Amino acid sequence: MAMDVVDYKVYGSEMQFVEIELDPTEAAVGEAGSMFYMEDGIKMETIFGDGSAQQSGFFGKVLGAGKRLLTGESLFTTMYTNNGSVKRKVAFGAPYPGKIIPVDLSKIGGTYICQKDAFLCAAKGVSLGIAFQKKLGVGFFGGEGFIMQKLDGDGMAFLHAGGTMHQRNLAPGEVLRVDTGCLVGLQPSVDYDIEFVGGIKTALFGGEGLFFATLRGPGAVMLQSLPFSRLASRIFAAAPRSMGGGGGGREEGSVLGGLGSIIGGRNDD
Amino acid sequence: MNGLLFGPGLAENGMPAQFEVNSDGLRFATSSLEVGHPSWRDIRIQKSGWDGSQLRLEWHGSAGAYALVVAEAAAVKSILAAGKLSISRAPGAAQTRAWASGIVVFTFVVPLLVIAAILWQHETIAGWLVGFISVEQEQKLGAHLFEGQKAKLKKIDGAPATMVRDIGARLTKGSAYRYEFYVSDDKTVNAYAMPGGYIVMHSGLLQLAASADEVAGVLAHEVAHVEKRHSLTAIARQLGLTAVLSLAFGDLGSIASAAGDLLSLKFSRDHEREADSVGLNRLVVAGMQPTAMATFFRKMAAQDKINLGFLSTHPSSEERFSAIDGAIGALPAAARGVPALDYDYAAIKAELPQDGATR
Repeated sequence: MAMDVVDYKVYGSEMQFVEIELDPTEAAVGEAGSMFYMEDGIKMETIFGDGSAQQSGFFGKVLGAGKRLLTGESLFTTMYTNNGSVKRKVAFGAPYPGKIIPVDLSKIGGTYICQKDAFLCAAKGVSLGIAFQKKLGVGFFGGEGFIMQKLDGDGMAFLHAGGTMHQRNLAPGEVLRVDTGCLVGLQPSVDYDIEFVGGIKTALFGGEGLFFATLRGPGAVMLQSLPFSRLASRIFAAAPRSMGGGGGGREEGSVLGGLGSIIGGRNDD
Repeated sequence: MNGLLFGPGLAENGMPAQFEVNSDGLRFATSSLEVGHPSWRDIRIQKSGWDGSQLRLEWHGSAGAYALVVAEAAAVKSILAAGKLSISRAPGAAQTRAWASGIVVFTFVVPLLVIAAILWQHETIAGWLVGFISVEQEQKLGAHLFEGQKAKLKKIDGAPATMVRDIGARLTKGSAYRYEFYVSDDKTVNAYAMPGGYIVMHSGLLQLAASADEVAGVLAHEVAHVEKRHSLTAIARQLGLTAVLSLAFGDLGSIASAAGDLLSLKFSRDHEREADSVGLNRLVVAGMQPTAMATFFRKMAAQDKINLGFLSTHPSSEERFSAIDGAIGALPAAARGVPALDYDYAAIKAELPQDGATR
């Protein structure tokens, strides 16, 4: 697959954007609506489906678009091509507070599985697909649902998630237990499972929900410290009732927060 | 075949490696000597990967622990053919499984079972709930409901109303309820009872009746509905069903309530049968002719084809009539041979509004 080598720079600290430098004829794909600015000479073209031009025929395109619909992204992606004769820049902004992390697919085996909505932009040649979680328990309680996004190719991809992002490389057999919902992405070689927190008291009052996500190496995992849904529920809980908010603040994971918070740890996915 | 090789001295995120599978073990195309040529005896094969669809081969080489992760379906197949899959469960996996399946059952299966149980046993449940309502509360509810109905009622006074009130008073002597009887100007052959003892007779029904005893039969039937709290049970059942249906169908609340309304249209057959037998007893106790009740219900069944009224909500069937006949037959001869009520029914009928008497 033809890949485009891109130079990039990430700006900002908590609300970031990434600026990508495109050589003449080079292209980048962005999630629709994420473009922040682009210099003169860059042509923006919206394509049905994803950016990997190899999808042949109408049905291939429809299939690609349908997959994107399943992962909760828009049907269209936008391709930014430098039609000029000198280097030009295009920038993509993060949709909410968090970090933008570059992932070099060529260095991690060519495939990366990530959270729905985590994709921000990529060099042209990275194809976006969906990956189904086949383990029922993980799909229900793993925090990421049954559908995740798959990035294939050997170029750069930029992911975005809330809070602070943390990449860890797990050695063979190394185990990391993670709060459900905090997994942004992982190399497919990593075992991803759920584990009961242990003990009724911990399960009900420990505030972490009933299950951990268990990650077992080898491979790279990317974690986020604050899933956006958690931030949103905190903001909602703090918003005045008169404005449709939840009224006074509620402790995270408290029993008084309802059964949902006991099972899910917090009211997020 | 291709896989990702992890181990000491290799890239942290794995090194793409080409390998061959033979009967002895693995043979790598790369000339990295530390990896060696692991044999099947030393290799542990496990299902792995983020979705459990890959294989992880682990062994100890000269430099330390190695792991090869294989994703290609063809390679997975040939490795499984050559080596043996070792199944190992993580500690606490059984507990995790138990809790996970417990939650799934709790969130999906239990509500379904509850809904099924309620739909199946709603009558019993409604009856049980009604037991907690006192007569005063029922009377209050009835008064409230009747208040709304009263506005639509074209009340008729005079001899017919007096007769209905008198017979009603005789039938309900000693009851805990304070009964109110009304005659309404409505040509449909119908009569109904509301909770708390509000009983309304349509003029059409009085028109169809041939004697005061026939009217008394219908009244006894309606009084029995009140005494046995059938309408209260029906209301409880309908409210419960509506709640359950809207629970089951979520946002389709309108459909649920419409369905609930349809179901509430009638008393159940059991209630009707009970009202028949209890009404019959009341007639006997009050010293009225029990046979007139059966005669009049038969007459209404014949009318049913023409006039949708009383019987559209009262399931008529030969079985029901024969049950009444049987009950009458079982009465002592003295109870059957009671003289007719002393009313000039033809004169009373003449007082009814004539425009309603076209049939």
